[in-house]
Amino acid sequence: MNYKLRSSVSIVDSGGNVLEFFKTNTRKSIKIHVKSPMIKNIVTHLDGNLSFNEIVQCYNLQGEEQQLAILLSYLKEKSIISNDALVKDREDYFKYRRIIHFLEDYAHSDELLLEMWKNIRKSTVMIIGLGAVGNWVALNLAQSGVSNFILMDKDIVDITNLHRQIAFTAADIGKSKSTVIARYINHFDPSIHVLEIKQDLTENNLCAVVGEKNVDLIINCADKPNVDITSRWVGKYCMKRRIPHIVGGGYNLHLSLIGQTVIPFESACVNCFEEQLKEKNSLDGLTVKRLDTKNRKIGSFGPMCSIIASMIGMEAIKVLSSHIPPDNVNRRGEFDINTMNLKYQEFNRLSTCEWCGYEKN
Amino acid sequence: MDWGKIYKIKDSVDIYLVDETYIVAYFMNTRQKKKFRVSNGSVHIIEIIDGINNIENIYNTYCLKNGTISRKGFSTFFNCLLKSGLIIEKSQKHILSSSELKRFNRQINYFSEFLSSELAAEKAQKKLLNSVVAIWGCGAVGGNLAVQLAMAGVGTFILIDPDVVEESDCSRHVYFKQESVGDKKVESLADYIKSINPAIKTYISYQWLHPNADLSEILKKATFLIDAADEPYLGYTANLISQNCVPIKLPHYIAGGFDAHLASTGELIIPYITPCAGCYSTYFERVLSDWKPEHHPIKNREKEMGGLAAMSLFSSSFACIEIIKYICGLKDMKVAYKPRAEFLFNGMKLFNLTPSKDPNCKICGGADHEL
Repeated sequence: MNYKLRSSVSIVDSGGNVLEFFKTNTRKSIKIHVKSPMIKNIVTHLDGNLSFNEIVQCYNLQGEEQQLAILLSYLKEKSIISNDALVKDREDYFKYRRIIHFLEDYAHSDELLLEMWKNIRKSTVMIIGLGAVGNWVALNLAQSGVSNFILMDKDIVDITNLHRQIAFTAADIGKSKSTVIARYINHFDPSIHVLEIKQDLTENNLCAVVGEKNVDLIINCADKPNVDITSRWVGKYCMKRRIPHIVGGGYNLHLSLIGQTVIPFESACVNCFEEQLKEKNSLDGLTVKRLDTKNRKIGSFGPMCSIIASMIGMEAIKVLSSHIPPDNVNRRGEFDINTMNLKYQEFNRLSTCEWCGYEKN
Repeated sequence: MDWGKIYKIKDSVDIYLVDETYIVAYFMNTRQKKKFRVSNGSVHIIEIIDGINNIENIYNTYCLKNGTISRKGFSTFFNCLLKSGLIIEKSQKHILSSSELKRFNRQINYFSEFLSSELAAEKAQKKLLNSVVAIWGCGAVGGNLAVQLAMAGVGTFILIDPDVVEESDCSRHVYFKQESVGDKKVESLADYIKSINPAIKTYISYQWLHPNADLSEILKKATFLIDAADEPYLGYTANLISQNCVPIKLPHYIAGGFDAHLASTGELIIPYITPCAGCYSTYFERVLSDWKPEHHPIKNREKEMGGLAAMSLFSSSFACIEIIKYICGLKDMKVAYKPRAEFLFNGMKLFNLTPSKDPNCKICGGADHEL
């Protein structure tokens, strides 16, 4: 094999024998001590044209071979030296090269990069609720190589959707939402397979609509009757089938919420969250009365929904790769439009949880 | 206070009375919570504000049931409700057409959470409809921004990009279609945003952004300009844009989401008020003075850079929120503007930068400008 410094990694000579490698995709730095000027010179010129033996020959390296070998294998493991040999031959490399080279930040070998990419390519993602959040997530994941979708929504496109729900045009008004999204993502890649389910989510219909199909990730963006209830329905089903799921956010009453990622029996589940939310939100010992205000109508704002969708999209890629740990486990976030800052609230997996606890009765 | 005006509790505000001593108001759109200590009487006033009766009638109804109180005290309390954003003035007339009201209804409701009358919320929407937004660079982030602002109601666009759609744009450009490969990006994008709302007007240009580019036509037409052009690199285009926009006081946004800054937020630039691209350059020269990358051994390394559609969407959504807050006057952005931050895929957190205005800035410094 030939050794190539990854294109997306910048090198800085920090002086004092320290070389800094900056992974520009994920903005992570790795600093190493390199005493030998010769080895430093070799590393900063790894252009992918030379094998190990050729490097030794070309630089007339004597006595430092072992040191170089150790360093190169370290740099490869840290994905500073490229691990793209196996993916580059694939037919889909050119079209999706940006995704592949992004994943490479997390690949310590050629085999691992190929595996992560295959995991994403062959995965099936189910999105429940095609609105301001679900649509963007579907589009983003299709653009990142996911090739199987189950899209669940009963609604048809309405003029009032168009100010915030991507992919719907004026000509789509009156058409089925799932059909319009299916057509849209096929613009990216005609081989994407979409199963449309034109039903509302109910307490028990997931079993019937999904059946025995393999699903790698379910994203809940359904808010009828309300988000708390749909998250419970989806959560319960996913725990039974051990399917990772993301509790959306960005919808009515939760416009700025970044819902949690749940890896069943590894991280806090929907029920764990609910138990702890009850505690956090209770106004113990106080009498609370909702004042009667006339009509309650909630606003909505497209870019607030899409900023939430973008974070769900990033979490989804981590989960689907099977090798990048998701960050929004055991926490949920809020994006504050006034300060433009993000805040997270931490939760724990409860040992006594009815759904996932190991001490439950 | 005009006693003939009609107010209602904002549609998106829920009010709870706790322990008969204070009320908690939940602002559903922005998920803010405000607490107020109240008396029995003030709770009663809140309950009779109905969006039908004017202040005079509400005052009379209150006095009839609870005994007379001073008009001054009543008016102080009413102003307090208004100031804290719990109530909004009803509007008797509309400035938007019925089709505009229908399409943007939910968004106008959202805007009203920041404003004090329904008319003001409609006016905010009108400002978007009247805007002429020029977008330089119609790639991942520029393309997203055009689409997002089009959905939100910006009426006119000037789209500028010399490139054609390539197959690998599939993973980045939301308006990508297989059959558009080879077409000019600005044409594909213009067609797409007009399909969302046929009322949108678009102008297109294939100009490269270089020091001798003639921007005068674009600067004359545009009311807001977005720089999403990262060739040869963003710092370069940003400086060019600020150099042209600052002297004529044209507000602009330097978008994030480019190589090495895949989910950065970019920044709103209000000439002579916020740091401009020149001030950012000074800031980076200072904080990155030790950062001298070696020459990279790979030729055409741009072909092997990474990126995810979801990260571009973060950058464009962030920019879109800031731009709309500014254009619509939802916040006083002279104070509330947010400097650039980097959103990190790893950890999902924002890393905030701390640039400041450079008094010696070649673009915006020196001269004494009125604010």
